[in-house]
Amino acid sequence: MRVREWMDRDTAPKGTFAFLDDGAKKDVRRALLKAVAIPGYQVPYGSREMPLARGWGTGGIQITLSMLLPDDVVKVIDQGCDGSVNAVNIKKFYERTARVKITTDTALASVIQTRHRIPEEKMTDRQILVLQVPYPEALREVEPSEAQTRRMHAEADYGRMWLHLYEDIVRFGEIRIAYRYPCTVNGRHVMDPSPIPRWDVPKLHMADTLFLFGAGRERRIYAVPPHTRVEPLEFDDHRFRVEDFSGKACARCGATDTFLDEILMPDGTRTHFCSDSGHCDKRRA
Amino acid sequence: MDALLRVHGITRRYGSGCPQCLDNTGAAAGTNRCDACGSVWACRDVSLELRAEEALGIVGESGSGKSTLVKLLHFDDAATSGYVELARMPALEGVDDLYAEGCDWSRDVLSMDRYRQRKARDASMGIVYQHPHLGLRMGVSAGGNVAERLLSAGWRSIAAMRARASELLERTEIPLSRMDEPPRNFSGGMQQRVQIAKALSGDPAILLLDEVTTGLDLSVQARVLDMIRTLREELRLSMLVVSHDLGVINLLCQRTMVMKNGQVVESGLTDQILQDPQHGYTQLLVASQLQ
Amino acid sequence: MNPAIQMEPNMSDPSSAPSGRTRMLSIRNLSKTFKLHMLGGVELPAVSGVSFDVLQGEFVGLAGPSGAGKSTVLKCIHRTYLASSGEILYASSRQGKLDLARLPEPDVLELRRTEIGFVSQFLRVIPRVGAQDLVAEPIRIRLGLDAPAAAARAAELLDRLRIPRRLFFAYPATFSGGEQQRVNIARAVAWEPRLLLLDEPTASLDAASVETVVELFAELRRGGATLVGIFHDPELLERIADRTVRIGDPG
Repeated sequence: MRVREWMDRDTAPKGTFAFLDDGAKKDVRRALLKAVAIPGYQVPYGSREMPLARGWGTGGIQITLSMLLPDDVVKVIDQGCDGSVNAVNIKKFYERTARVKITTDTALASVIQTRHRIPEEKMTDRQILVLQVPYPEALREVEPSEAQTRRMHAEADYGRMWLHLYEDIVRFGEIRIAYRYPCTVNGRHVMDPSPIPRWDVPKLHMADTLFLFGAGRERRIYAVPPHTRVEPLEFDDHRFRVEDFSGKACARCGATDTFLDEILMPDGTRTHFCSDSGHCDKRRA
Repeated sequence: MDALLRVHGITRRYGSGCPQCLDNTGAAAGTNRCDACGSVWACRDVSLELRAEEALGIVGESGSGKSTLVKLLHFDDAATSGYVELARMPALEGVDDLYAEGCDWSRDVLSMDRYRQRKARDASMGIVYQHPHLGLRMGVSAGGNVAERLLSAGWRSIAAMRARASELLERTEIPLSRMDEPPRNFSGGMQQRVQIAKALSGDPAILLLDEVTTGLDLSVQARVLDMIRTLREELRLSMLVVSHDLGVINLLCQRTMVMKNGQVVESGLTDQILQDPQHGYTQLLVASQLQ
Repeated sequence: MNPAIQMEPNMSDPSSAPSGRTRMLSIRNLSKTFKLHMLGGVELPAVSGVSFDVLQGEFVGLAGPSGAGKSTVLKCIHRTYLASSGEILYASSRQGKLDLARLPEPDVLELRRTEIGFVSQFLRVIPRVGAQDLVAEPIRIRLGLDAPAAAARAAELLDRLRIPRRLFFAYPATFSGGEQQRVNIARAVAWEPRLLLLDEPTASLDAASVETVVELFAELRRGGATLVGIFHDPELLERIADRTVRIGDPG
């Protein structure tokens, strides 16, 4: 996504287009610009009331609404699934307020809003991924005070975050973070990549796509611009590893290279399905 | 022996200050609180120079400002005025813009941003507090406590950090079998020794000791003091030793400063301070100790 | 220029240094008064107007009645006491003449580390350090010998002073007065100071030990050391000192 093109999104129709008033959009866009300028830095913004409760994706929704154009093609997924209630409701909301086209095909979408997953299909520089974030502060686990975590970010004082990982290794022999795996962005800020599984973390690194993160309840926006280093915190002798699905395959499409959900079947057996439903459908088609 | 640290007129005032403050506070006035405006001068116009491999004692009763001085020098607290310089040393070459080109002394560290203060401090100083809970994370393993500064300094090998932590814990006589236990399981003396190991992890040139043996049993106190003596010699440390106990100061320090109500009332060679104290307060202190 | 470094033109005057040797110490008008703040600021004069010289390699004894201030003079030279007035000029090996009464403290410490030693009447040492380590420490630190060599040299000295080998690792705080004093002397002579100040070092020693100590002092002098001391025993003083300076006499 070229910056110029993205800036041109400011030419979106005025008035009641895409629910938010112009002032609110401007506020979010200003935060987005700053977020892109300082990769991984959490920009505070005035999160608006939305027609659904905070904690249901209002951060992601405000970002998406602020930059939608009438000719956008939007995909919304929840834990990889296009058909979950939350995803469907958000899609209907966009259809009604911005009259945009909706798709389940990653390749066709210009904007994808997601909760907890990054699509399996490699995204391009023409696309934007908007991630819904419940807890934007990566350091919250080690420091309860917001004033302290802000100071720690300002001074790049990340010793305690690293200490947290060290303790995991000492106590359990491995780093026990399944999702929200902390990453260093652009060699500077430690960032919460939202609750994506470790499987998705490498997709953020040096990607062609622009990633925007919105936390509505916590009123924070941050970003990973294209071609930015996103490095999971790891030790020389304890490397970051993604989930291991070796020997398993999707029971629907047979994929062996995707993130799999384990499902307990009615007969008590366990089976695996692709977490990314759109990708799975496309492979079966 | 060259100087490592120079402190000029460091002052910490709580409150707005007023024109009467200087007359109303200090050793002569017998208080550090100004009656007119209520400001407290915790530390007033203290200057000192710490030389390489020297132990400088700071003695005084509680409220004399000695612990405030240590906090200011460790940048735990921000000074109201004064400046602090660090000598050029290899460990500090990595701190951006600390030294002006060709200068043997750093710029004023007090007026630098906190990020560079922390870098400079981590590369040159270690601190041991009176209360272990100030210096240690009680829920984090002893080894993790030692590793924290290494992690901050960019160490990324668990094996190398554990080797370094073992070495330091061994030096401070913590059984390695307890390395992965949190210090809250330890006795007071052991906690203090973990704190010392942590303070030494960054290989500091300067060690700040704030009442490190206060509150410990006598036998434990002796063990900690003996350890500090040995470490000082082996690691060629410079130390700033804060204590209300002249015995501790006498054992560790060649030079001593006496503080009262935020001010330095006397400084000299430790044996001179003990045997030929000049200031009335020092004479009282010495007389009280030796009885 | 360091204000403590003072050149005095007549210091090299051959008439006052007959043998042509340098003056090691030159004490000029030294006075010391103690002011006791706890007693309402009462002033106790200890010595006043003391002047004498000590040549390099000399052994000078300080004599005078009890309370005359002999010990005060020694402590002023060592800077354990701050002189109230007067000068204590010392010919240091590296920096030339220095006024010990006004020398900056770090420089005094440097001199104590490299040139000037002091033996007190009582053993004032670090607790919980064994006798041999106590003696080896200055050899290691000041003469730069490695630990085994320093330990060997310390053992040799302690042997000569007839400290039983079984006590080598014991803490001197548990020793008898005489044993403590012998450890004290071993520690003081071990690093071969250039100027050694002695404050009644033989007070609690038996006759045989005194002979050994006298021998050790003689060895130090053969190595070029200068000694200034106070001895309770006038005969001993007469025997080992080149000359005696009386303290406390008028003029």
